[in-house]
Amino acid sequence: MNPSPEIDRILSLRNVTLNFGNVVAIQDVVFDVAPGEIVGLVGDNGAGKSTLVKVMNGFYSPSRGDIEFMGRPVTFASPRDARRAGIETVYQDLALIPALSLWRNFFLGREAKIGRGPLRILDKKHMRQTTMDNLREMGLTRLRSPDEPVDILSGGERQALAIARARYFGGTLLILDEPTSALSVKETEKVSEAVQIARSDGLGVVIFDHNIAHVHRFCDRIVVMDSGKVFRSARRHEVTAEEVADLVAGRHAL
Amino acid sequence: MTQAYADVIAKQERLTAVDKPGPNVFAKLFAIQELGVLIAGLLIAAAFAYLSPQFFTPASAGSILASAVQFGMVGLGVTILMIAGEFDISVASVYSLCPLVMAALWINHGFNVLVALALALALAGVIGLLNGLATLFLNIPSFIITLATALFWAGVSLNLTGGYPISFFGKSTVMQWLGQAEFGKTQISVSFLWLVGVAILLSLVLRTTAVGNWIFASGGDGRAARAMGVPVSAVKAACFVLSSVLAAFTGIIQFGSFGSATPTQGSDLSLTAIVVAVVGGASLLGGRGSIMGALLAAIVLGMSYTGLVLSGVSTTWFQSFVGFLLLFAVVLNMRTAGLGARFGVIRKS
Repeated sequence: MNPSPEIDRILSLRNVTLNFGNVVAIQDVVFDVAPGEIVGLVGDNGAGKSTLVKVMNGFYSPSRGDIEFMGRPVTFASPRDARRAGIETVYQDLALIPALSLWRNFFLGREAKIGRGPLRILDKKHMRQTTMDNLREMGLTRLRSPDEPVDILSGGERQALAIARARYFGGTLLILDEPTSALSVKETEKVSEAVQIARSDGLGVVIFDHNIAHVHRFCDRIVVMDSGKVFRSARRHEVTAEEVADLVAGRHAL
Repeated sequence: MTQAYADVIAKQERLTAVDKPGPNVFAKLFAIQELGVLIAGLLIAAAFAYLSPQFFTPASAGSILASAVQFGMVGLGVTILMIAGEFDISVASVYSLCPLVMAALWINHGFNVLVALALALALAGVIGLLNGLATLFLNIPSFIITLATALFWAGVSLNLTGGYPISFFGKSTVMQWLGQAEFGKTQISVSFLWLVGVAILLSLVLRTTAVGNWIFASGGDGRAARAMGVPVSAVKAACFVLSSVLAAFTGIIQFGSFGSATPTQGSDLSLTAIVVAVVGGASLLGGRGSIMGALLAAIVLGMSYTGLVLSGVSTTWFQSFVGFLLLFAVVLNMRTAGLGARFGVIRKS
């Protein structure tokens, strides 16, 4: 499903709190993602950003508060549930299987089949073609065949493949886990390009990353977390990367 | 982009540019995943044909294929399990235990032969399932788990009959179908048909179904596969069951062929099965492997066994030869894949 124009928020969290026993992991979080918006989520280790992401993608259910997805209140029972609804999470080290070919990775767990009943077999022709088409749209033009293993892809290309896959399977919210960590400048550019393409389709994108410079360059809005709370939310032009870094480091300069 | 990476890309593009004009025979040849074992097989066949004039005779073919069944059927199951990223060292014990159980139920306890056969295979399935559950829930490497169960079930085999074999001397259609019958006037046992049938079926499952894709993915990177919604535990458990049932079926075919089930038979088969899988192109790390490669590897082993006998070398040298073959084939597999990649050949997946 594509985000319809009348919806102004893809995802909306209202006063979401999550407790583990007596420990408050995140508290009264208000968080929105609009169609075509790229939101960066930053914070020091333990600030609660990965917990917040796990609330968004159905890994945890909040203790209190409401989540609206595409304008409707939702409760996700599992990440699978959230993915079915259109929330795609691309984990840095869990996205792809290097030994498998491009098309087998692209369609893993969602294979296209032809035939009936027990004789349903893989529709390889369709999957090969679709994979190549989608990768080319993402700017991965040097690839020669969908049968090449993911092994041969660079880090940026792998991220782009995972983003292409999420987009193809009807994701409306894309959550990227450290998409640029350990990537060179040029590789980061490829990821940026892929994110821009996803955004231009009207997808909402959430990026959580340690690299504040990259986040600042990628994102329309930056949300800084500290001690389980949203400490500050600012549009890109309102803050410099240095100010964000100071916020994350706890030198509350603003 | 690092300089080294840029160099690799540039080199690939250069090679591709050279390679572009028309699909040549060379590229097609190197696109064959089983090229390594194919070359090894041809070289070994040529060597034995030179050493012994009887190597290319129907009798010799019958003997080669009969031993290929023993190595191959077990090897096919182990290959799939290794693609899924796990090992099964207990196949040798299951291979001797299950035909013994079938023979005991049928001959000593008067069960119908087909019921006895079904119960023996069901027992193998349960053993495989236990291997799988123990590996997945205790979170201990399957190599250790199945080493433990291998020792346990080997002991059960010995105590079941006090170490004695159980033999069958009558005439039985089921036993005929299991391995005694031969094709028309050839000396090729019907059991080879079982091997080829199972190989084709498994190859189709692996290459043309979603479950096949999940098996490769589970072995390639289980955590990533799980993150993509693949039921990794169920896939692996099913592969353990398959490997165990195929080991039992191999033992039962041997029982059918020779009319006798022995508690100590096939004790080195677990390692031979891994040899078959690896020579056929399987990776010890999971995620890679080929059923047709394993089938070819089994035939190569069968050729080696028969070839040694025909060349007047004692079969006591067989294991040494298998050791040599393993290294030779692995080097060939790597070199052909490496050469193919250098010339920009892409293998179909």
